[in-house]
Formats: sequence, C-alpha cells, structure tokens
Amino acid sequence: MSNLAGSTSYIQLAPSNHPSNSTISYRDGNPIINFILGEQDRYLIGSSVRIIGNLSVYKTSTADGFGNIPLSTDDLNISSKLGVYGMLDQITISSQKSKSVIESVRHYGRFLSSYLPNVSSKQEATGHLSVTSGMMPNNTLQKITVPANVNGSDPTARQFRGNSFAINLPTGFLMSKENINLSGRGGGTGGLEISLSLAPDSQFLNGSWTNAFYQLTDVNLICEVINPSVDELSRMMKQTSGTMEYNAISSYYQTIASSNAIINFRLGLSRVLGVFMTFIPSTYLNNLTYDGYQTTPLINNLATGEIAPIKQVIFTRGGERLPLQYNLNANVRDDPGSTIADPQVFRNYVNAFTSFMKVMKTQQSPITNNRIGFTDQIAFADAGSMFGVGVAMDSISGQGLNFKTENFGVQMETGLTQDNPHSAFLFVRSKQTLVMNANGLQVLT
Amino acid sequence: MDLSNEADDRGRIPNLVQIGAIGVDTEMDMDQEVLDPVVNGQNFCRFVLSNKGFLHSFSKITLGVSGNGSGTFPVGIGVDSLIQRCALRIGTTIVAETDDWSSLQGYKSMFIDNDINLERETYLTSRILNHDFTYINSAGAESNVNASGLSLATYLEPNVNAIGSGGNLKSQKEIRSGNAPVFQVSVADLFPFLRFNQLPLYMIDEQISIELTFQPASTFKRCIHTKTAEAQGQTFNIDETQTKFVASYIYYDGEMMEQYRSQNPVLEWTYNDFRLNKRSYTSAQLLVQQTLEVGGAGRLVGKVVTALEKTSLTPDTSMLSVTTSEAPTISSGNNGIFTTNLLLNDHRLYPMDRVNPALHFHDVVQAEQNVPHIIRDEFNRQGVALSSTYTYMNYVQSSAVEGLNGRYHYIAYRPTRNERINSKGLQLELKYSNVTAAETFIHRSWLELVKTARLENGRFSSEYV
Repeated sequence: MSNLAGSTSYIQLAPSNHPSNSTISYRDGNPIINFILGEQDRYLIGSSVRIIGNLSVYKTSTADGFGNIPLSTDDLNISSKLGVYGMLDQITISSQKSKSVIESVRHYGRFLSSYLPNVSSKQEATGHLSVTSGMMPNNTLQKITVPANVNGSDPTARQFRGNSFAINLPTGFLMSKENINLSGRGGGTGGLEISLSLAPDSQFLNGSWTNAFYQLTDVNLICEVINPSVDELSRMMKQTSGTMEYNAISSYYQTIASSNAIINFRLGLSRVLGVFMTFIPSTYLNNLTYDGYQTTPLINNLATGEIAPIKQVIFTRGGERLPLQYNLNANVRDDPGSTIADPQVFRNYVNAFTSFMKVMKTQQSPITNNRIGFTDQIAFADAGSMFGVGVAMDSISGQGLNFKTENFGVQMETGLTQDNPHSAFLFVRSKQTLVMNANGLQVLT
Repeated sequence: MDLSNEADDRGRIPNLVQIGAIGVDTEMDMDQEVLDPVVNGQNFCRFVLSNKGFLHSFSKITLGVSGNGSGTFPVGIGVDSLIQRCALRIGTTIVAETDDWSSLQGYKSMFIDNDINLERETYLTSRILNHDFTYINSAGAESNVNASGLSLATYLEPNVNAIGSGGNLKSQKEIRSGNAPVFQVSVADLFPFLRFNQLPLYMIDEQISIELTFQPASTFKRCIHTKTAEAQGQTFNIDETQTKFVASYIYYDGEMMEQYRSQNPVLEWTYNDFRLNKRSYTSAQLLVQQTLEVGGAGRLVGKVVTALEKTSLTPDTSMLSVTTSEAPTISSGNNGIFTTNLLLNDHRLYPMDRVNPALHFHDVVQAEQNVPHIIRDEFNRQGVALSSTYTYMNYVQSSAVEGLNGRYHYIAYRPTRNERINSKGLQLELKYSNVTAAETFIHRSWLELVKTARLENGRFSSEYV
C-alpha cells in the first residue's frame, strides 16, 4: 500500500439501526449502535473514525421522552477519567461482507478507564479531550460541565440537547498505522461493520438519582477514506488476497477474594506484547451509587477505605516466571505503613501500555496512584485512583511472547483479608494478523 | 550491469537549505549579529539582512513597548499583538507576506502547550494562557479536591478573599509594560516556511529585507490594561530602542558551501504562504446563510483557517484583545450552533454540513494534525468550566466579552481532493444560529497557498504553484 497518492473523502454514516425517534439510550432498549461502512475500492484511515453526537444526562424522565437535567448541586455524575467514552461497553469490528469478527473488545469502558489516563496528561484531559469527549479530570467539575450542562433544557431556540462529542475508538485495528482496504474482491475486508454496545445507566452514571439515565441524539460515524490513484485502483481490483498486522486488545475477567490471588488464563495468543489489569470492588460495578470505572487498589473495608496492599506479584507462563524472572516485592511488604506506590509495580504497569521511557504525558502521579485509603472517588483531587498491575512482555523485538499453548498466570500476595470480592479486568495487548482472501477473513492470533 | 541503484555520493553535498537533510557530523559554525532597523518607527520597521551564510530559522526580532502600570500584552498572543503585517522581500520579490498576522497568531497560539506557555513563552513572548483548577467546594469555600472551575494559572497566586471563594490574579511583574520588558518574535513564526527551509543568504545577490507593519497605537490593540484600576485608552508606544533583529547565521565548511553553490546554480523549493480574505458582517447577516468567495482560484490550497472577530473600539479592555474568534452565543441556556461547509471545484468538502461543535474542533485537529490546547468553554461555550469568581487583572474569565468564554472558535478546513482550485475559487458557507445582537463582525479566512521559490544565479523569484 505504498501508493496512496490519491485524494481522500470524508464520509458520514448514520447508524444502520437508527430508532425512529432518533434518540438512542440503553434505558429505552437501544443498547447497540451499528454502523456499516460498505465494501468499496477505497482505503479507510482507521485513526480518522469518530463517533459524533450529543449526550444528555437526565435525573428523571419527562413525558416527552427526554428528561430533567440535574442541577450542579445534584448528586449525579459520570466518570471523570472517561467523559463520554464511559458510555461504551463493548466494540466489535467485523467484515460487512463475510461477517467475520476482526476485533472485539469487551469491557471497553474499563479498558479505556485505564488506557486513557495513562497516555494523556491532565492538561490534555482538561483541554482538547474536554472538547471532544466532555472529559474533565476532577470529580466536581466533571459534574458541573457534563451532567449539569443545561444546554437544550429550554424549548425556546433549542438547537441541540446536552453535550456535543466527537470521540475516536482506540482499538488495535483502527489505530493500526496501515490503511484498511475496504475492497470486497479478496484483498480487503469487504467493508466494515462497527457495533458499539452501550453501557447500562448504572455503569455510566453514578449518584443518588435512582431513575437517572443518559440519552444520545444525532449520532453519526465520520471517517476519512482514501480514493486510490488509477494505478493503485487497478492493482487493488486485481488483488485477491492481503494481510494486515495490528495490535489487538483482548479482555478477560476474574474475581479475586483472597490474600493469595491467582489469575490464570489460556490466552490463545501467540504474540503477546503486554498485559495489564485493573481492580474494583465487585459491588461497585453496575451500581448507580458508585463510579463503576474506578481503578482502585484492593480495598479491605469499603466503609473505612482500608487498603489491602499488594505485597508481591509474580507473572508466569506455563508455571514459569516470565517475563520477569523474579518476584515483584512491593515496598509495603517491608513497610506496611507506606502510603506511596511501589515503583516497580507502577513502572511495570505503565510499561504495559507503551514503553515507559516514551510516556511523556500521563495522569499518573503520586496523587492518583498511592495507597491512601478512601471511601469514595470524590475524595480525589484529580480524575480518581489509577492503580493497576501489569507487565510488558516484549519491549525489544516487538514480536511478543507466545501464550498459544501455555497459560498466562499472575500470583499476587495481597492483604485482602475480609470478605470483599474484587473484580479484576485483564487486558492483553497482542500482535494479530488479518488474512483476507476471496473465501473471507481469518484472524491469526 | 545496472548501476541505477548505486547513488554517486562522491563529492555530493547535502541539501543545506532543507532543515533535517544535513548530517549530524557536518561541521557548522554560528555567527550572530544584532541588527538595527534601517527604518524604525511607531508604525513600521524594516531590517536588511547581511548576505552571508544561511539564515537560522529561529533568528529573533525583539520588541517592547514603553508604558506605565500593570498593562500587558494580550493573554493569548503576547507580543505578537504588535504586528499587523509582516513581509519578507528579496529584491523586488515578496517571498512571504501575511496580513492581519496578529489575528492569525490568535489561531496558531492555540497549539502551544499550556506548560510551554507557563514556563517559556511567558518570558519569550508574553503568551501566558495556561489553565488550572480553582478548588472551591459546594459551600463556596476552599477545598482540597473539589474544583469548581478552571482559571488562568501563572506562577503567582491570586489574592483570595476571606473564605477562598474568589480572588483576583494580578499580571506578573515580568510582563508588565510599566517594567519595560522586551520580548521576541521568531522569524519562523513570521514566515512559517522557514521552519523547513533555511535561506542561503550567501547565494542571494539581492537585498533581503524583513518589514513589519505595527498595529497603530490608536486602535488600542497593542496591550490590555488592568480593569478598573487603570484607565481605558492608554497609549502604549513601541520602544524603538528595543526594536532589533538578532540574526543568527550558519556557516559550513567554506569549500562545502562553495561546492553547494556550484552544484546548485538553480535552487527551487516549494513552500506555503497565507493569503487573507476579510469582510465584515452584521449580527443579522450571520444569522442567515452566507456564501463567501474566499479566493484561491487556480491555486493549490492546503488549508483554510477562519476567524470571526467581534469588532471593538476598546479592545484593551479584554483579556484577549480582539485576537479572538467568536462562538455562537447561548440563548435561554441553549448553546447556539454554527453550520458550515466548504465548496471547492463544484464539490462540497463535507458530505453533510458540519454542525456538531465537537466535530468542528475535530476538523481543526485534522487540518493542523495537532491539538489546540484550549478548553471546551473557550471553543464552544459548553460546560461552564471557566471560573466566574476568580478574575485575572480584574477581568471575569468566564465572560464572553472580556474573558475567555467562546472566544477561540477558530474553524479550519482541509481540502482533500489534491486538486487545483478552479476559476470559481473556494466558497465558504456559514451560518450562525445565535450571535451577539447588534454587533459588527470581521470574518477572516487565511488560505494556505503553495508557492515555489527559485534562486538562480543569485536572483530570487517566487510564484504561486
């Protein structure tokens, strides 16, 4: 795909399952938004894909199908790590022609709640991310700026409702540096179908308004496609097969409730680049009272905020220590009173997203990653706790480690002594190859 | 034998004009001289460069004003507010010229990281736009964690009232006109093509001059004063003794430079230059769809940047002066919308008119391949994040008149068809649902046009592609 000298075109697509009233909400039974990008002899610039629309948060519903906007003093908020991104629960990208799934990320909002704050600075979150996604890395200000935004509340001269957004979809496939051949002649994906599952109101919102809900209007997908030059088009039309390599995200879920937490998965992936996991007390998930996108340390006592420290971490492959040949013994193992993050655990976690030395912007700080107990995310000055555990599998060759036949394991010695189960969301970054030919698609993991 | 793949590197001199093409082990010398302008006045100055070496792209022009009190240059663009027009001339050829340059800098300054404004630009250019949280809890008092707003942050702390619910941030002493600070403007800012090319001055036999036309003091666009404490309408005169050109010249090995000259009797390169299209509208006109002919006929246009300035007779009573672009206003709590499209070669750039405010912002990002470091209120007035209780130089930061609210609504378009624009030129369609009533606005469009430069036997020429 060297000759992409042709011009580009903008495309704007409405959802293929657009409800008749043009509003989309989980509450009203439209939890899935589908977009179909038809097969065509053009290339999609994956990173140009944006979901645009307007998002409104209502504390109670009204007879006209909309609702009452919360006041800035009302207890109703969204995650300040995510803004509008928190509405996404799952993304599935498949071929429009063959229906084969190319990439599917479950717990997508949970993935983004760890990924986005790790790779964007506080200034970016208050700046351009606030314009495109309504993000605001402060709990109180998040509430004021998005849920309590009164835009559209007065029928006089109403132009649109709520908060406008234009968000990208960070997935391995769409963020690939290669342009995506949409041709259906064998050399491309045969169009794309992008399916977004919305998060339940109880996961996206947090507060004390039990009938609160969110609603989307004017939702569209925009993207940019490359019109191949004549020579390129000719080659494209003759191409009967093709491959594309990208870094995919796979997600796994496990609960832990013991001082010896063991996580073990058959990943089935041959080129694993990095693994990271985040935690949250299971009772906080899908619970309107709490922010379900918190990435907390393990907590012994939710009422007092007593932290259950992770004292030791061991990563294994097939029962052998790998990639670290040693135990990660945290500072809290020797000094139970320590409130600072363990530097090794921290560094390995950040390193799992992208090379630690290349991280120039992050919201990770001693404020957001520490072992000071808390009972609610509103006790944070910034976007919330950003704790996690992770490890990069291959920082040198970029080809990853093979977990096709052997299990991936994490063994953690924790201070979790009370009956308080935690959900562990495990995300694996791995290299995958999409093979395309006349018979359809195959993803080589 | 096919030797076509074998490059003949013997005696080959790297492209010394193109920044980045020179090997890291190439010996290089630097020479600096401080040039006084050959014409130096309150409204105009001209510098004539020495025809030697290569002009370093980040050579600086120093500027300052003499004034009293705590007035400063506008928050967003700093000292750039002084320059109304800049031109680079070689012989009789205008290499690059930008009109309403300070207004364009209002757009370009958005792309400077807030941290850089705080730590560097404050002292280099007097740009100080940098946001931080103001921590006030729901009871209206100071809090450790609950931020009720965003406000301008410098290295000074605001004078806070007794319960911490509000305060005022004074201008920094280093940037007050009363202290006669001197700031600088980079030639690469004045003429953006110099970021990629360094002029081989020694190969040019003609006079090379840089001309700056200053904003007249009578327009009050040069500086802003502290609200209430100082009178509107102060005159900020340019301190002519400080108007200088700090020229840096780069030299390579003498033999290499001569070889480069002899190997390149004709030097050609392409670069971008901005052309301004400007017209005025009333509020009523903006509420109905306008189709503007913005030019570009027969040219290659890289992008179009637009701004809508609300005219003011007292621009010195606003944090940003008039280097702003007004967003649709809010009516009964409802945000207005801006609808736009760009017509080129009988096509519309966007399949559907752009309406979504966040999408407008995304289009700016796509056009520049860079993100503006501004917040949501500043771009589209959504969100009420700007603090209404913490002021800067007594200006209310959340104000749409004197503060920052909705005053960075710059819009950019990136034509994607790779085509020369036909004889009809570009047409811009725009419509605002709400704007401030009974006002006059200036709509500016800068077209980034592709030009070629040709240097042959010491004679320079340039033309549009």
